[in-house]
Amino acid sequence: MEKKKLAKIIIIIGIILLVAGPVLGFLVDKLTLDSATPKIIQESSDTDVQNAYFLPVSLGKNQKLTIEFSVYYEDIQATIKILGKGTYDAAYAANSNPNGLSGLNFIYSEFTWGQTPSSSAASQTSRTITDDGYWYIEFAGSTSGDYLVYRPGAYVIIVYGTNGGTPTEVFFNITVKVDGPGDFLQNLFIAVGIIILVCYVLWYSYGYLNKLRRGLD
Amino acid sequence: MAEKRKGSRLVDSIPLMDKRKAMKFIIYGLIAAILFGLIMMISRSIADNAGSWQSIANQDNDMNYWNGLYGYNDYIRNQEEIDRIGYWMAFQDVIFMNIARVGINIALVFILIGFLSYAVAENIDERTRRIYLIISGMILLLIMFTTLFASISVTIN
Repeated sequence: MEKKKLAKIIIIIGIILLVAGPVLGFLVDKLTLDSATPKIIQESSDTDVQNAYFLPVSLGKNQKLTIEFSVYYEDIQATIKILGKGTYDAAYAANSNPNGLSGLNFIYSEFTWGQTPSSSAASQTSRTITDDGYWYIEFAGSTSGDYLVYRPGAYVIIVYGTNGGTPTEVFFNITVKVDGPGDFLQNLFIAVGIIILVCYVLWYSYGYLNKLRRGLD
Repeated sequence: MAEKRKGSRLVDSIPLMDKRKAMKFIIYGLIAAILFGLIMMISRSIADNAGSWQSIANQDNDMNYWNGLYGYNDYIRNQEEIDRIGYWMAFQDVIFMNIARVGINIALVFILIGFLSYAVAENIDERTRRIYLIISGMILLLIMFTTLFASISVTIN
């Protein structure tokens, strides 16, 4: 009776790990660093980097950022750039004009149905939206053609802009996600689940064979 | 010394197996051959259809990209992963076909021993024993050909 109970527990744990692996992998595939609709900055950000929106991020090996940047507000023009932390710190200390700063290369995608994806993705150092627009951006440090180059390090995302209307606020939407440990956790859970079930089957088969042998004798 | 004696006793006893034991050898051999044959067929089918699977997976990848589920870099990564899995689906055939080939030959040896035991059994009439001997010979030929010649294969359409 005890053995049966133990067997049930082992099988249930194995199955739970097998099911939980992909679920957990999906849940922590990307970790959200910032999500705001809208984010508000001042118009002075267009001339002073100290007033711009900034988000410091750190990228490890094979890790990339996914940024969804959009504007749906009248008279707004907003620009996104990604800088190395050193460049940003120097610009911040000097309160430089962000328009003069050189951003690092990222890939942006336009999801055009029926078109080959390579023809609707390109490498850029900044994206500007006037009034309405949406960009899906991927960044890993640098690019080679339209392909990402993974370069681990510390980076800063900045957004600055202007409001052509009476108010001085600049509204924009931004969601920043970074690659999480989803793949690793998924593989780990599945591997442990399979090992538990295989070990149990081997152990059970061994016991059954022993029982048979005793019976035959 | 004792192990040597035990081994020789086993070889000596094979032709003198009783009918029940010989039938067991044939049945177990057949079951093993069918199982390994099944593995062979499944493996070949997976390898033959690797290209079709790649086409479906690539189409899914395209559609997921167009739906905005992920960006261009993830699209490229998925494409590479699809290629890798496709190559493995084609290559696994080499591994499983060879395992199945060995398994089938071992199973055929069991069947051969079973029929040989029938062929030398004294309590079976002469004509039936000859038929068992012919069957054993055919199985032996099959084993020899499939073991010694790599280019020989049986195809069923």
